[in-house]
Amino acid sequence: MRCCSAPPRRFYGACALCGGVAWVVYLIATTEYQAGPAVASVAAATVLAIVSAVLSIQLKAPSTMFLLPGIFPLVPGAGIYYAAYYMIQGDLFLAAAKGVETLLVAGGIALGLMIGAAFSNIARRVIGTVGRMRG
Amino acid sequence: MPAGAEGNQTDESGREMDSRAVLDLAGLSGKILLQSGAEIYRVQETMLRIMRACGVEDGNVYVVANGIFATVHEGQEDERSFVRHVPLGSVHLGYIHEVNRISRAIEAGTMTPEEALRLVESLDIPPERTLLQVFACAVGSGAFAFLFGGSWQDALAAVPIGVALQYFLLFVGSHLRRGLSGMGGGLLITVCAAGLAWLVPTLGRDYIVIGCLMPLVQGVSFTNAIREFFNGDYLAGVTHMLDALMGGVCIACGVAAGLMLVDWVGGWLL
Repeated sequence: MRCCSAPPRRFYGACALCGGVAWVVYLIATTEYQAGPAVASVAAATVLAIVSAVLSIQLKAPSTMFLLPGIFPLVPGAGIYYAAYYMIQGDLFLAAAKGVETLLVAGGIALGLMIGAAFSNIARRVIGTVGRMRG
Repeated sequence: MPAGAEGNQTDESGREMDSRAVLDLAGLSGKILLQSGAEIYRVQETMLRIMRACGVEDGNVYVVANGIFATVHEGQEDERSFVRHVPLGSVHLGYIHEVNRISRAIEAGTMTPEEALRLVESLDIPPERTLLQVFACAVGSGAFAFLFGGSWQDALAAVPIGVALQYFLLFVGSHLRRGLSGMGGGLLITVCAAGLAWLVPTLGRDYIVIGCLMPLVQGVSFTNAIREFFNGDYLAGVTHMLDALMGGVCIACGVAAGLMLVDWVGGWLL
């Protein structure tokens, strides 16, 4: 339901940037490193989480604002279609394979978001500590 | 709690606000956040911060995916409670940003709680114009069709279907339950895409369908579910995850029904 999520207009550019970054990482992972869709999703979601944490601090807006639009290209829409398609074709084996792959991609996004969030939490704390030591 | 026993709270800057107004302000802000798709952690944190900024230190807040419970001054003369059922709704990032801004301003002292309460009570962000939403859905559908391996012809073919989809979602889907509107959307897309691919045989039906499916997929519920798990709010996480899963299954059912219909009509025509 991307069209109804309605972030304030001045954040449109940052939201678009997030989507672009996530997809570029996904593309690089799948083409340059021959990663499967699940692994590529982990990489893309990790980078996305870090980018949106940085943006949320820079622009003083909740990080949800940048995370949600960024995640859309990664969410497995194609998997849903192929699972339904093979089911209709009567090829239950392929349908199950596509279904499992869809779940794996979903899990991959979850894992990536968690890694990214943990990483940016640590980074924030380290930067805070260093800043205090200097100040 | 030195100041807790009286009916009125006075914070360090001398502003006065009774416990009912504080609870109204915090509760309303929390309700708007929750129904706009904020995480539980953010809702709880914001409510507690607003209470503290208004001088209430003994506030208690419990938030689940579709409800808010809050009390202030428990066990005292002026104890108050706030209980609301907040149904799972559509996401609106604008509201989250606005409430976030207000609560920051209260904490920084640049906005009085009374002012904030008035603002929160009348908070109303109109949705984007219909045409813009339709335009966004059309461009999104086309771009996703291209992104998932379709040719530029497939992308062009996905644009009118995206227009039809958004009109369907706005005028029919908003009266249906969420699962049903996903099912109807999936059916509509599949039938339209198959029709176009039948008219112009060089088009790839699969790419068109996938591109147009993307605006339907419950990406927000899914992302929020993961973040709830990460914050340890498993109850809300499971609720959102099931919501996303049900949405996906419903879309798949719609697509499957569309494919069957197309096969059946095609067999009957030829």
